[in-house]
Amino acid sequence: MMKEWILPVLWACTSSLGFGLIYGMRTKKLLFTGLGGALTWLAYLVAERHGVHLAAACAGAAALGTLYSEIMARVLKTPVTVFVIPVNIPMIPGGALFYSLLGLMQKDVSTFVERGLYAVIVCGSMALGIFAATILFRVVRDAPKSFKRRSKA
Amino acid sequence: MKNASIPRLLTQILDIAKLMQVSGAEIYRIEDTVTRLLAAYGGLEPQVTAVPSHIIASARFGDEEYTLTRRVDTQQTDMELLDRLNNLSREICRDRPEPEEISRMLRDLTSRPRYTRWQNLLIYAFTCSMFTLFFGGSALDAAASAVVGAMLYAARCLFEKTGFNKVFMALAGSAWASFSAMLLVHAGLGRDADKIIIGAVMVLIPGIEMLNGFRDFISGDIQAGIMHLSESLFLAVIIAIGAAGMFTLSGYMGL
Repeated sequence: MMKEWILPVLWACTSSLGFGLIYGMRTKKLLFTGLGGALTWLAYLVAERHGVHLAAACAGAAALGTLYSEIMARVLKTPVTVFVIPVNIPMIPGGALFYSLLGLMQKDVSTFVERGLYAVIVCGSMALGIFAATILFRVVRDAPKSFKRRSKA
Repeated sequence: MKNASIPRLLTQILDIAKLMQVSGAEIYRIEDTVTRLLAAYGGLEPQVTAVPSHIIASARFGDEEYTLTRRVDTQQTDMELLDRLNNLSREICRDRPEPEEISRMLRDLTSRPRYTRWQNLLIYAFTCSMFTLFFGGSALDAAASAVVGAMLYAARCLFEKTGFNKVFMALAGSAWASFSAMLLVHAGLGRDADKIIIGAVMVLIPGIEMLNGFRDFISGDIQAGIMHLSESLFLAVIIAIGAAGMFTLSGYMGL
């Protein structure tokens, strides 16, 4: 329990928080950044351990993190960028990219291809998740406005 | 607004836009902010084009057309500053102060406290060690990673003074982190050099370019999106090459 769930989520939380600090954030926004990182990584872990496909798990977790960021940005009245980057940071496949290029340098082609493809899949599905969540949020946000305008005309 | 003060007003508006761009705003936000600011001061048909490397804004005041551009060649991500600039531009739209007043407000904003060098050193150490733990390193690895993080920040400050470009900073930074991690492991602090290196190098990842690239695409700023994304991809590969290359090289050197 501790090793499988609590510690990874805790480290994801502190990593996100650290990234927030590097980007010069202060005040209570930092707390919500850390929470968002934990949420994103928890979602990924839950999906992964229930046998969800890697791409789907990444897309889902990134979508959840992005929705969280959009909502928090509204609540705390701050640009979305402030949250969306640190919150999604734990998902970025830095390790895979490193091992991939290490494989290339040590003439281990199978590692290079396998880890490299992993990184590409994770990045691509993250992009998809972020796209989907942002567009969904914008549609829901703007729906009442455009509806009103149409009914007036 | 008197015609004589319009150039000064445009200067202030573009200074705000440039600061927003430097501290990490998306293209959509910059174009939107400048358009609103120009309109608030009675600029007719405000036209704003922004890409990651420059901003062009023009508007008609009376029967004269003014255009101003800014080159953006640095990236100093600062979310707190971005947040304040966002609030400032809202205030300006509402109250429409004179250009001198904007300039004073802007100075006031940028002179508010940021993290000092020493605080940043600690922040880098903290974040690097947390990433090492996140990637499965032990407590000892995390301690080594904290040292590497601090050394990375020190190197970064040094590089910034010399004015090297982003690509060189990414390559040299990751190679330096990799080398110091190998040294520390050789000296007995930490066991898995790879986990220390990954943790330390994560702070160099061009997250802002990547995620802003995604958001640019969603907002329909395809040109900016392509620039942001290709830059982030290039930097990520450069960072991985620096780290993995130095890892291999240190292996040959017997570390």
